[in-house]
Amino acid sequence: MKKQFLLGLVLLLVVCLSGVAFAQEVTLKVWLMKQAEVELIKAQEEALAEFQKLYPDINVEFTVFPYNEYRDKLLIAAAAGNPPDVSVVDQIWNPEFAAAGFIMPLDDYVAQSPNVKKEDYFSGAWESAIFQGKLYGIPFDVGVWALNYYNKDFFRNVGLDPEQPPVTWDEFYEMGSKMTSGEQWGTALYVGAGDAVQCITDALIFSNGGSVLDQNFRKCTLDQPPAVEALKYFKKLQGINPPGEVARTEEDSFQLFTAGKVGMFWYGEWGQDTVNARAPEMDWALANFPRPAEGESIGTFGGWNMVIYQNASQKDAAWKFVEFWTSKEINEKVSSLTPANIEAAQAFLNQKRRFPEIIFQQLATALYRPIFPRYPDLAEIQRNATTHILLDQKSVEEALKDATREIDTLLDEYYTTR
Amino acid sequence: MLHNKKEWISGYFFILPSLILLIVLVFYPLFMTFIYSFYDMSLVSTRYLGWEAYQKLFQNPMFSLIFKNSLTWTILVVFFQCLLGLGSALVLKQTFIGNTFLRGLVILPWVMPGVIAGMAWRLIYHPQLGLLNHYLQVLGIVDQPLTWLSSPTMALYAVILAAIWKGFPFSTIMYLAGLQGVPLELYEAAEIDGANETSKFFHVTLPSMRPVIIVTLLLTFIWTFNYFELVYVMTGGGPAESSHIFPTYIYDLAFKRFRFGDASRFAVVDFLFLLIFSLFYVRLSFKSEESA
Amino acid sequence: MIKRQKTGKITIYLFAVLLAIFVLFPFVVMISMSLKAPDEQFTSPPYLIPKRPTLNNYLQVFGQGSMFAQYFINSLLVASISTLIVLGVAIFSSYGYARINFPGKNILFVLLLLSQLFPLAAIIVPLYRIMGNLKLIDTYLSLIISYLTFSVPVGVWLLRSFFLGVPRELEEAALIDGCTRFQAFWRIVIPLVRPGMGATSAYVFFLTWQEFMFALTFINSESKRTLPVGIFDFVGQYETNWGNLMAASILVCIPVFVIFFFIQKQLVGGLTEGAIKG
Repeated sequence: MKKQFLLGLVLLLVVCLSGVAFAQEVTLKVWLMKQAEVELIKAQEEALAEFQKLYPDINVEFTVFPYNEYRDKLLIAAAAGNPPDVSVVDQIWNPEFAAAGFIMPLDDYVAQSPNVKKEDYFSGAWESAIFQGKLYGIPFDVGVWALNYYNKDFFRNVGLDPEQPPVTWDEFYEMGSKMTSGEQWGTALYVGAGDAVQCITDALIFSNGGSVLDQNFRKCTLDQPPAVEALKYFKKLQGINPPGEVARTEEDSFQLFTAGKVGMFWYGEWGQDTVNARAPEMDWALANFPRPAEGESIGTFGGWNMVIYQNASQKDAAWKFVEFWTSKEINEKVSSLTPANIEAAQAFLNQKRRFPEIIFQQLATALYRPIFPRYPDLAEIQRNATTHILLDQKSVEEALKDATREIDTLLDEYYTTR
Repeated sequence: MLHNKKEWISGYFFILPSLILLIVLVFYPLFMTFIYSFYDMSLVSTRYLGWEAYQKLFQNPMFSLIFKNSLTWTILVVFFQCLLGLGSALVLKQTFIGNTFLRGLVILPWVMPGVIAGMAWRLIYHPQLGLLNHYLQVLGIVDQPLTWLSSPTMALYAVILAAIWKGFPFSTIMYLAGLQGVPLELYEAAEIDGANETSKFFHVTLPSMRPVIIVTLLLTFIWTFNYFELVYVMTGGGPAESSHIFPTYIYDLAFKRFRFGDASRFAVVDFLFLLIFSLFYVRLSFKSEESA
Repeated sequence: MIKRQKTGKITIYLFAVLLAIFVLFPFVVMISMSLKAPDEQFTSPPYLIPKRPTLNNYLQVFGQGSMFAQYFINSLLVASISTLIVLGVAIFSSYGYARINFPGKNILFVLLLLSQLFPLAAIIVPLYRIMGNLKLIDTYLSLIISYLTFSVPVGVWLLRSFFLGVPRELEEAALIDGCTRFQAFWRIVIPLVRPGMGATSAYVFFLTWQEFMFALTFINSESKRTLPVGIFDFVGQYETNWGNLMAASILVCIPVFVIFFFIQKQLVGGLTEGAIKG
């Protein structure tokens, strides 16, 4: 009897102790984008194993979503008070999440961290995470809109030198016109449904010395001459592109390029693998985004930042994960786009991309899209303006004036109610 | 009397499970939607608006567009499904080699998941690389590729064509069953009167199929009005929000823009419209039945 | 006369062929895409017959890193359980509506039909809140419960028409023999509506198998996603893997096609009866 009692006591003790040990373990919920590439999924698993070796008491649970669902799911979960601890967010959502109080400023962590330093990341990516003076995310990966992919055969066919791709807007248009005849065109524009078209029109505006919002993000500047000229140029390109651009997505345009219907195509560096898969025979190359005669070629930044949620119960553990996941060694392996860490990016580009110098140069000078918590609404106004212009429903001036008025109302509405 | 009462009780007992489920899962949420419709609700704030909310709704230019789109969409889809359903039922009623096989095939579009049908039609509609434009050009029907889903004036109609394809088999099977129910004596009598095929169709077939047609039209009308997947997958309501119908716009408002109040108002109008329409429709068809 | 008959035959075949082409064209496009390697998928001009047909897309759908098999199991699970529940509920209710007289029956039945009048989008916000409060978001249960909203009314309505088709005299004889209402229902009527139950289950299965909106909204974890949502895994941020997508789509269609092949006759009977007597 006594023996049994003792045994019971010991058992109880063991259970209690193991319970305590169990309670010290932390589980981090991390949301990421769904990756299609098997190699990448493997790399993520390996990196995670490495992390768990470093921090055996931190468990990490990944939940992944395809891009189309990702934002809605995050917002709903965050609003319901049930967000993950860590996630990646598209640069353009970062201010929205920060303003809603879903995610926390990371300045203190960065100040104390020996590993995360501002100068290690592309400045355009780093600045995209700053909202009202505070840093709300660490850049994870980046991409730049838009590089000029071109099909060398198109150049040869019309007697152009394929080693001399267009540099300026006028050259791009003229070469494109030469390629346009019958069932072939110079380029394929797209308006589509996502943010790609804003990336293109913004890049044109940036290259022309203009902007979408003023420096403080309080006033719209789309009705200013640089933007008006940029959109006029965009409208002009309609003449060297196949009909249907208004609802064509970047993907549809890409298919036109790989099918050999258009000679040139503006897209990001991540498209290279797809060109090779879809058009293995094509003799293609990459050039800088065209610039105005008196301007500089400036692209638009895209990419994802890692953020930590206010609701996270174990913020320190979450930070450890962010630090690890954005570090040079890991970042290089687990991102599908170009890593946001500059050194990792160089290694990545040299290893996996053709024309790494051009890509790197465009990444280093690219600008980010307007920082405004209601960016999706703003982008929708821009898209509608672009659509009206392309469909000849409004003149460029008229469309941009209307858009400016709407965006200003949006900005006022936002800032006066806060 | 006592027996009757016992009968009642067992009746309630039988229907109770479905009634409870219906109240909890359908009518309670529906009631909440009515309540929400008087509020301005977003992820972070809630504000009571009262009837003002509906005033704002009716002034919203999107409202008239959605209403117009929904009506165009529903009427065209239902009309052509009915026509195609009748036509294909008449063909399938004939005897020919491969008839059974074709009957099995015809139902497939209706059975396949809507999102998949939407993706398949997107492929077909690709302006430059799609097969539809290619064949139309090869046959010389068009000389410029049509932009199908890409133009605000055409997008809704392109989805309508896909929706006709997706849904017409339901009408086919209903009408086929209806055709088989037409008493042969009626045809014989008509033949004796010297009626030709056309007049047999209009004087015997159609009148006998009246009940089936009335019900099928109502069902397809309601289903089509509330059909979500095709528009959502094929255009997402675009380009420039030109092809939204009630269900897609409600979903967009609720889960893309988180404007729950607006979404609820659109939902309430959708429901009330269908309710009033169905009441009138049933009324009218009963009335004409009596007079006939 | 014979000549006229001949042209009549030819016209019928002509229409039959046209009908077959119209019905099959999208399927042919899907199959063609699913058998093409990436470099054949988007060409100018487009063509239907792959030059180098490949089964790679199908292999990739089940390959490493793909969750397709899991989605398939999830869909099967959710659709089967929903169907069983609906059948269990509908069997009683539809009998009640078909056979027993009680006050308020017509109103309640109209109420049941009324639930078909609004789009599911109309109740999705409150349902989401209810699921959230019950901590059911991201569970199979949230799908099964929300699927009852549309499948119970349909199930009751459809099954009722099968009950209406059973001759009343059989039960009345049993009642006179001293059976209770329930015994008469259970022993006499149920065995007779078995085919109807099969058709109703198949229809409910078909509805839940392809449900998209609730599945999109209520499920987060990849491991719990169902097929209609899961196939969008092949739609990336920038590019869609059309070959894989179409291969997966065909695989998703097959189960419902097979089911429909077997129950078509019963189902059509139920639908037409239900529609006219409903």
